[in-house]
Amino acid sequence: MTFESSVKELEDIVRKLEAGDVELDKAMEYFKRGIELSKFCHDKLTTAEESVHMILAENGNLMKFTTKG
Amino acid sequence: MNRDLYVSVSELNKYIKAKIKNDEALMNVFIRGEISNFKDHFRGHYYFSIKDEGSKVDAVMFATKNKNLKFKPCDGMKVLVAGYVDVYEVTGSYQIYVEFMEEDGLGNLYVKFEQLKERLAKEGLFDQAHKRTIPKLPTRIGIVTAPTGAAIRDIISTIERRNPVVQTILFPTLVQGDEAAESIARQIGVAQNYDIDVIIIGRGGGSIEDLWAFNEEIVARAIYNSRIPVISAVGHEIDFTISDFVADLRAPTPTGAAEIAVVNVSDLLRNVGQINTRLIICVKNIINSHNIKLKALTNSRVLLKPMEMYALKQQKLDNLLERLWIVFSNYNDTKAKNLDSLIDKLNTLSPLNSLKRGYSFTTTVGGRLVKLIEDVKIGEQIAVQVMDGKIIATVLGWDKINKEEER
Repeated sequence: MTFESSVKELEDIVRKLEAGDVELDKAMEYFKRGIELSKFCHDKLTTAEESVHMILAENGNLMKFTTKG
Repeated sequence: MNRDLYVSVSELNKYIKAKIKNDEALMNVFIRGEISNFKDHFRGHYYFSIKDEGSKVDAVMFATKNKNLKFKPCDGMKVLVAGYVDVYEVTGSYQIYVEFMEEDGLGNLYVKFEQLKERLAKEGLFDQAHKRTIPKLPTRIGIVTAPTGAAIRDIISTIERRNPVVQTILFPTLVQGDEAAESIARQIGVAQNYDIDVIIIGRGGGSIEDLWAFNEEIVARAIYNSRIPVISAVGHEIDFTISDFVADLRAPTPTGAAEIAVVNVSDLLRNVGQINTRLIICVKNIINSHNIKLKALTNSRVLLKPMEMYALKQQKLDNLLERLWIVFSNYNDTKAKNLDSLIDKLNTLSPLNSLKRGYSFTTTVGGRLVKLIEDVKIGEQIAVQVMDGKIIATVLGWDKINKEEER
């Protein structure tokens, strides 16, 4: 599951619900899925895997890289 | 007609030639242009034209002058020439007699650029169909540029500002000089081995020569062959490089490339938040409307006061019973009345009543009713029934009533 596909699925669900004509059971199912997706997207944006900048050194190793100082 | 006014063509050309030869400005001319109609005459002289976008002039460079040239001129080549202007009387045309000629480096770069661009375009390297999609939310970005300088600083600071969780890997390269193109191409190749969502290649602004590495075929092919989408950001807003054409996306500056590659995370968060709010409002509405329906149903009298339903039925039943009773009793009354009147009638007709009034009837002793004279014989005993019993008598005679008389 990617961020893009999740956002798209979430938007689809909201559109279906907004259009009405959804049976209550189905609506609850959509809602549950929507909340899952929304959480996934939110986590994807805020959960920081360590933010690092690396440089490929001449010896072929990745080293930390900074533009400061 | 005064013929003395007329001069010959030769005289005119000679005159013009003398004029031009004596013009100091035309004794030493330096011009910049492109070679066309180049002809290498078998005697070693070069005949050609020099042109720019709007104009053209004939030129000749004699063998004695061109033998020291370090390059072989050809059509389309941009050159800087020095010489003088003279008139060739035979054709009445003026031309430049070239003494020195050198390649116009910058001009030739343009020619090379145009030629390579045309060739690669023909080959399909710029085809829109080949463009890869730039992912919306990359987690790791490869950067192919110099490790020092404004470009890498701008890219990293822009990425950090917009999405602090994105990682970068810098593949350091030379970005100018003779080895730059090969270095860039090699690092694009190396980047293929890493788990990277998008590659930014580029450098900050500079002169056309400074940017030249990004116009080299080797770089163009490396970009084309990259499995990872490439954003080209050669810091020159106006001029396009070959890299810009081949890349999947062209950014005007390194900062612009970082902005394209990395979406502002706060925008995305806001967007997700908005969808989330819509989702919740939506479901609330759905639940609400179902609740309203449910309430309306539970509030119905049937469910609220079920006994009412019985009371109604009870009432109806009572009502029916009452009506039944009325109908029945009416019926009885009528029947009773009818019976009385029948009994009255019966009474009236009863023979006993007639006996009461003094009438009597006669039977034989055997009990047979005597209606006619002939029913009895003289001397026969008969019984006469009266109100309180019967009288036994003997028939002494009879007297028949004449029917005629009776009338």
